[in-house]
Amino acid sequence: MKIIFILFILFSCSNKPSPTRTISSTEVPRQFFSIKAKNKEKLKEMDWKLLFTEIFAKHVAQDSFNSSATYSKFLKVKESVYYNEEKFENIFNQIMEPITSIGVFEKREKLLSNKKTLKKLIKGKLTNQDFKQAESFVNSLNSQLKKDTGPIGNYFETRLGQKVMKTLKNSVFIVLPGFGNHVIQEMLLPELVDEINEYYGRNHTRPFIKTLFGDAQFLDYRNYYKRPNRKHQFDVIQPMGKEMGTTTSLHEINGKDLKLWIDNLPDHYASKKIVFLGYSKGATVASHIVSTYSDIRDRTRAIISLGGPLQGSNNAENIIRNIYDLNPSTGRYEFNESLENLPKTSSIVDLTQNLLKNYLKDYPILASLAKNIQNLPPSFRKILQDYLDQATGGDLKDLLGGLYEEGQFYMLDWNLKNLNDQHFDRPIALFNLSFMANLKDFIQRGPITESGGKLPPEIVPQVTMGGINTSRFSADFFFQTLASLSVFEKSPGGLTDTQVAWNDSKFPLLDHLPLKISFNDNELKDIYENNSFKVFFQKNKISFKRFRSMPRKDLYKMKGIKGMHFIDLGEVRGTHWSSIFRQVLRIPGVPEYSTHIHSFPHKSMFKSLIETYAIYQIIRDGE
Amino acid sequence: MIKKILILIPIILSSLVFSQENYKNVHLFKASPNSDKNMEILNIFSNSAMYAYWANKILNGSGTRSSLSPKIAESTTYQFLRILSLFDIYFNHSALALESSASGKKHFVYFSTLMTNQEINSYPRFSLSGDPRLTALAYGLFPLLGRQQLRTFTPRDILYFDDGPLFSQKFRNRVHDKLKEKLAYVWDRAFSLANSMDQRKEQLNGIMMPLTVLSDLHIDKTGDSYYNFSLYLPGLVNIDRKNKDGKLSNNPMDWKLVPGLEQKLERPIKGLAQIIEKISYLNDIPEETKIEAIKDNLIGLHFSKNLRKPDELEMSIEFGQIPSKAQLSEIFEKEDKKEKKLRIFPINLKKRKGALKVEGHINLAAGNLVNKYLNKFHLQAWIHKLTFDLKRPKKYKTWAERFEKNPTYELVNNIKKTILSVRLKKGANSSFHKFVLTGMGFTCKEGHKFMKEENIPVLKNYKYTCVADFSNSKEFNSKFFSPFGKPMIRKLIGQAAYMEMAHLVKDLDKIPMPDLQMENALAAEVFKLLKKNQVILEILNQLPGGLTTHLEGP
Repeated sequence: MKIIFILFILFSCSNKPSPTRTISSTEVPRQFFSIKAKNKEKLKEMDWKLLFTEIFAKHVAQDSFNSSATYSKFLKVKESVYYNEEKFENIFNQIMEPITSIGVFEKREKLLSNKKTLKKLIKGKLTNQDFKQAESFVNSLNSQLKKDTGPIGNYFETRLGQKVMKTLKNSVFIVLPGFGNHVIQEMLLPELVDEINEYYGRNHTRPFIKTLFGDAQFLDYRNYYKRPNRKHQFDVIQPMGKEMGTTTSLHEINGKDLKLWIDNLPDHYASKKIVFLGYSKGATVASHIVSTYSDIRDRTRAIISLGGPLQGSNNAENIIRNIYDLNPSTGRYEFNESLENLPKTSSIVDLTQNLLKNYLKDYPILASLAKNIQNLPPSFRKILQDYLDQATGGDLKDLLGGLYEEGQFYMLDWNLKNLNDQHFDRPIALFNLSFMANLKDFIQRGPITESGGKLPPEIVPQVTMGGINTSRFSADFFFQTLASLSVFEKSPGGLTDTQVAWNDSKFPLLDHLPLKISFNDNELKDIYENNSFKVFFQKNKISFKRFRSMPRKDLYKMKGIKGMHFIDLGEVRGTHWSSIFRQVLRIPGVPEYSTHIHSFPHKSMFKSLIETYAIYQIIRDGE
Repeated sequence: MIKKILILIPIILSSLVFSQENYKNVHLFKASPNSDKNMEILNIFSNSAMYAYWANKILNGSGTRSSLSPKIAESTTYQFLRILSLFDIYFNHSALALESSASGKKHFVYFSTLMTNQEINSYPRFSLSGDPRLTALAYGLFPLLGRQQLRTFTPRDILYFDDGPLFSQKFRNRVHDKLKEKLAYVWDRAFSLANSMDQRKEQLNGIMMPLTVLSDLHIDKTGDSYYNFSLYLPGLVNIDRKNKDGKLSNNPMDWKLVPGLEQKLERPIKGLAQIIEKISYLNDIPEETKIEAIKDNLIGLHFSKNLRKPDELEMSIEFGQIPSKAQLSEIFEKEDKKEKKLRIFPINLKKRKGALKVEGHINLAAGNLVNKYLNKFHLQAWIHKLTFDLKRPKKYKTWAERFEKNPTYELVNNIKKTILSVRLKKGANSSFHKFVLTGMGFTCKEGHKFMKEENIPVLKNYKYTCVADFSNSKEFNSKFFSPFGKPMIRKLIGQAAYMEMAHLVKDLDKIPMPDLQMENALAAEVFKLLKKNQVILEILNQLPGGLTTHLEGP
């Protein structure tokens, strides 16, 4: 019996699903989804940025009361919310007006963190935007948000949470992780998924099981997401580990594995409409899978990008350019071939030392680390090596290919090819929420009293008799400080979340900047002369000069975007990591309870996203 | 009776001095890694330093290298002032927290020697401080970091008073000898041949790194809380980057260290009554003796802060020499008569060999007959001590505001605490002219006598060269110090700051306000000189990300 039991466990814990059930296009007829014209009109009229930000600010103010006695509501809002009523391009242009770096920094704080504006956001009800069919939902929201404190306990058990459950009962949010996130054992957006997992009687997080044979892996998702005992309505699910491939890999591989994962979800998900909540690379994987697979396209109603490199990450692009410069005779399209010519390296550490010398000129401390790695104690070197091997999956070429696809050049090519209504041939909402870092937050956050009280900087280890106070030291921010020194110097106006420049986190249809500010002429010529685009440029009489200088959103509009509704939800104040995670880099040997936790109000943000989408859906589907 | 009195005297005196056992409020940073007090102050210091550095980096680095409309950063001088201001805001505010939680007075003293990696290995009697694993890690990441050697103190090293501790004269004598020893060691290494690149870099690090650091923080809820901070640095040198062929080289192995500096200003500084054209250091010394001469030179950088004045900071730079043994006792005595303050190395500010020199000539409004005469006065001024009051605008009412607005300091010369000496030189061709100048306090000699006897270059085309020295310091002494109107001249120098000779001639009782813009311009030129100095550049380039930005250029 025991042997049979053990064998049962072994078989049930295999990570990759066996293809016992696939949905083929012949099995289920394609669902044709459309939106009524008047609803479309209403959706376009709405100021979604204002709505989301108001909901977010009010949640933050309410939730702050529960979490900390030292923080005033307003301070918590100030440290999490950025808002200006104007459109992205107007704000951007105004911020970029001053010629000095200090001028730009002060201007952006003045425009996005205006005291009066922020106070107005948290006061009173949501601004009336004639919500029509969503009136009842909005009233419930207002009635909850006007209270001084938020409800204690599981959000989904509250009245508002139940309203969300009911409204979105036919929807499932699929959370897609970012580059390298497969090494993290914690679920993404834990504050949200903890509660919905609890609601459905699941473990707070998917258990990570060490088996007798083979690698440790997560409990099979079909088991984890099995039909719950209570009525299954709105849900939030996510692939873990390598269920959508190594997250440092190519979009094609991630897309294929993700499709398989979705197709093999338990039956009670089959009828749910999908909303992809893509964090960082997750957003571009979502775009990829939707444009590639028609059945996924049929089921998908929205993609919500959270800090996604929708036009590429300039940080990734810098690395790629440095590697590319080693063999510049090939064009940018031949990058993958150029990888073949790179010197053989045995590890990511060698790669760093040998290939990234130019790149590391911008990061003297990282360069010093790379150069002096042999001086580090062996235990530190092993930790670093293990982490990097895990992140890369041991395949350097795959990693570099994946990194290339995070870059601006690749995304320009992909967007021009795919971000149009030929590939997105069903109505779809494309939300983006940008993160914008105020890097001063790394060193000073929280209330400052006249008698000397304040929180210490999160990037400076506070030494005590017992060692370093790990609850006050953020390894994340420390690493980001080392790694982002040149990112904000190279981002226009220093506007970045430490990984993605502000304008690159917007869908190109929202970006007014010309392509020439992001690419050199050789790179643009590679695109312009590519066979995929020649017909388009000829047909629309776009010369090379015009191609490089016109507002890029106008270029994309020419490609046709009828069914695509691009919505800018604005920005929140946080970094690429702190806006999503509790903590990414853990100091080895430190117990979880004494680890530093990012103070960004994740739960408030996720609630706001769900509620905003709920209102969107009500209006979209209304009679 | 006399015997009894003699016995009583030490008893009376000793009651004014406490021993450390019964004075619990003084904390000395000894080489003791387990002290909780060490931790507290270390945290405040490292928080303040990181805050200042990073906040400035953000303010002066946002979009500075973007391909779209790159933004301009402040010049290095202004960034230095901003970093100082930001550090001071953080530190001052943190000290207030210490004050709130303290019962009674507290005094913290930090005194250490800094050394490079190579020096650690070769310098005698060095002991490593701190947790060896952390040190190994930090050193592995930042090999150019110097290491510190914290002092161990004996009971006789410190005298404890009600208001805080003082170092004993015995202790000060001892560390004075050690300092001389270290200076000689550092310069001998710097001027010797290097066998490898690493060795070369170590040599450069040795003269760039401060020799010692002294700091004390006094907390007193009921009185004045303050801090002082002093860095002691070796004299200034230039790096000659030319290789054997006379071309500029990027290879440090080709570089030569040249003691001293000489810099002609790109734009002469124009004041009310003078034009400054050149700044130099150690250029009065014959070439062949400069290497030995620089071993006696010392630069002190001092900061002094009253925590009750949050928007003010006093900064002074002293250019002087290490006093001889004989001079030490005299100096200690004089210091004790001034305020009781924790001091370590006195710097001899009397001699011009250690001072920073500026040169130019008198200049009044064009067309002025007096000017036609006066602008032939060649001017040399030695800066022995330059003191500034750094001030922030008074508009910030709360600490939260200061943290939010990141204000910087403005530089205001503190004339009273600045020590200058000035030499005017004038040529005369007639005996009458010589007579007039002598009457004004000049010493005139004919022909090449000045050069031969005093090593003062004479003015060509004149029969007589006439020299007069002035200073705003009472202690300054010189052969050519005019006895005529000494106190008035001192006052003039002090108030006019850089020689308003027109008023000396015209109106002795109406002393003009100093031209602050010009003083700030001079200060800016001094910083610019230091900034352009290759040695300083090397230091700045070691900082993470560098202090200068690419737009500013080398």
